[in-house]
Amino acid sequence: MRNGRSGPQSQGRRVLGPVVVALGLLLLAVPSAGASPAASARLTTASLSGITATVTFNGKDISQAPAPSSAFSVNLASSFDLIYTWSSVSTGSGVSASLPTVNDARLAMLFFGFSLSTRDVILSNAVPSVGGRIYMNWSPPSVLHVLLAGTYELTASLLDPNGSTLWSQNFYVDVAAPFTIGAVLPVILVLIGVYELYGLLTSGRQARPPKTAPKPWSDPSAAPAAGAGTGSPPPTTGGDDPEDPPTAPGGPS
Amino acid sequence: MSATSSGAGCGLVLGLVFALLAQQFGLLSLSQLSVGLEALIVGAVVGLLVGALIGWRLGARELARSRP
Repeated sequence: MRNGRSGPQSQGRRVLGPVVVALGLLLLAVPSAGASPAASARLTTASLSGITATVTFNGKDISQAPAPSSAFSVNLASSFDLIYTWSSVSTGSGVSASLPTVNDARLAMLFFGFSLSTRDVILSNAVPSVGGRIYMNWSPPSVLHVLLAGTYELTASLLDPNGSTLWSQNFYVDVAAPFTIGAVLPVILVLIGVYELYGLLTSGRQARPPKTAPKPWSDPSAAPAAGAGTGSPPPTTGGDDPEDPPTAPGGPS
Repeated sequence: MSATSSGAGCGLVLGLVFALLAQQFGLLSLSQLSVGLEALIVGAVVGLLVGALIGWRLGARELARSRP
């Protein structure tokens, strides 16, 4: 038995201590997890197969947003203009021997590695060439505007007729929610968080010993009084079959 | 259910919610599957442990309060 209990304020401090430690641990863990995509973006920036390209996203070079910290601020309710400008990688003696055929310009928005939205511009009569320019207009699905907020990775890539990736580059956009926090997903998450926080702070009640409640029907005079209050008919032993239709008093006229 | 397990369950969900909210507020990118799973697992484990600790402390306090 502890005699040195010093009141509810001290107990509150003792309970809040782990909460503060937990938030600190999570804040330390979050940047370390978020540092990985920036490194992976830098690795995938290089040209894959003999071409080099630059892509502008509403006039800005996507190489300016290789990490979540430098993401472009966008509103998914609007549409975006992308321009893919590509050229063959020239060697010391000139253009590389086999000219590439760029058949498809693709933009994909990723979440947990899965594509939320993909936009393709396919060239119908693609021929091998030393360079080219492809224009793309991307209008995200309206459901994404209502649903999402936060930082998302987009992948701009150029594909050949076989579907192989000739070049790709990742960049990040910071999606603004309607009315700052009006997207559906963060609102649902905040509500779940508040509910679970309430459950956590009241979890001590689980240890409360059960109170000895008075036995129901201990007073025989209470039962008829309760039944009379609701106006329900007395239970019958027969005729409780749910198959039997109820008979209306008086019958149909 | 004990106070510790109740707190652990709530803490686990809170850890997951915290990681997803961090992404929604632009503090974290979950675009890659490996990074997303890593963040969710870290959030869930930390939340579970801290939630269990908080539940245990609150349960002990409740028991001490209810003793005559």
